Amino acid sequence: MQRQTYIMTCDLCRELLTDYIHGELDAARDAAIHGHIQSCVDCRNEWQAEVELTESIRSAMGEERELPMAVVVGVRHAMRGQAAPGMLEKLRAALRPAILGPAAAAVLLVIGIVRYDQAQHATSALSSSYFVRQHVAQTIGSPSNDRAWDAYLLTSANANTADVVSP
Amino acid sequence: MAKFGRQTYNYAYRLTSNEADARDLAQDAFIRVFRAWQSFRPGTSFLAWIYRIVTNLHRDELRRRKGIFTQPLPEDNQPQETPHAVTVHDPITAMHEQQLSPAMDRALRGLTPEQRTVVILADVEDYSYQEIAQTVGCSIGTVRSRLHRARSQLRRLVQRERTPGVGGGAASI
Repeated sequence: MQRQTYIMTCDLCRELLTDYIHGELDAARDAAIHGHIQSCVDCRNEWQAEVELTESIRSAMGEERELPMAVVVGVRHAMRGQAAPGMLEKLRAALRPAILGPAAAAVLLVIGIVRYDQAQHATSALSSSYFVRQHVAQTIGSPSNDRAWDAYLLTSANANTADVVSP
Repeated sequence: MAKFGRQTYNYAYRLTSNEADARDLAQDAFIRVFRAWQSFRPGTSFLAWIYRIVTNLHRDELRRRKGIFTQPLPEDNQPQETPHAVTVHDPITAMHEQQLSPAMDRALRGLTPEQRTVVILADVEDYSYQEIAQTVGCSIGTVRSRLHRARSQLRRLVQRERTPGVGGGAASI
């Protein structure tokens, strides 16, 4: 594998110095700058100034401070206070329109299905009762249909036959 | 919090340059961390995730405060040094200023918040451009250009402060 080499100029070197001191260059360019600042006094001074700048920044901002207890107490307090409203938060979140819309639709659908089912049962019960009564009313007094009447009396010997007049 | 509290607070302090804001920022960040810990992706750096939260909160706070002039109150209830007002030579003050690098401190305050964040992460926290890009939420090219501009500006500002009669500040960094 052939290694790429760079012809390093002072302009290019100075442009890349920040990346060089932060170790962000690939090996070829890193080596090219390293070689250049060994031979070029001006660029070496520039490099030195960049290094000093980094040290100055570190000394100005590098001071380590202890975490104040007020932060720890504040976080604990906030997290403890969050426990009770947490449920409310959840409820509020559940009632958000994005969730409420589909939930309401689902509830309406279930109610609709239940009512439809009930209506189906009611209709069939009504119609069977109605048709049996009609049939009985039409066949009263007909000797050929006495067997049907007897069957009806046997199956509906409860209150709903009270209004039917016996032949 | 015991493990990352100090680092987080120090990062917040470096971003805000004052104790009260750093406390608030660190506290808000930890509350956010506790509430959103489920969104942390295992296998990635937890500290980098916290730094990202701190950076975002700081940016939001700066946007919120935009246009509002704030001057941090002195922590020790002592009169504060005003810029360009140090004319009398006092050995104790000089030593104190030498420790705090006021010229550099002022120069760092002159950076934009974005530049300052990148400088802190690159030069103090030793983050790579890639890590900075992930923390700040921008491209590596943007990190590179912000860092280059910030460092050029810092060099100019420090040079100006060093030159007698121009900046008027203490001649130490």
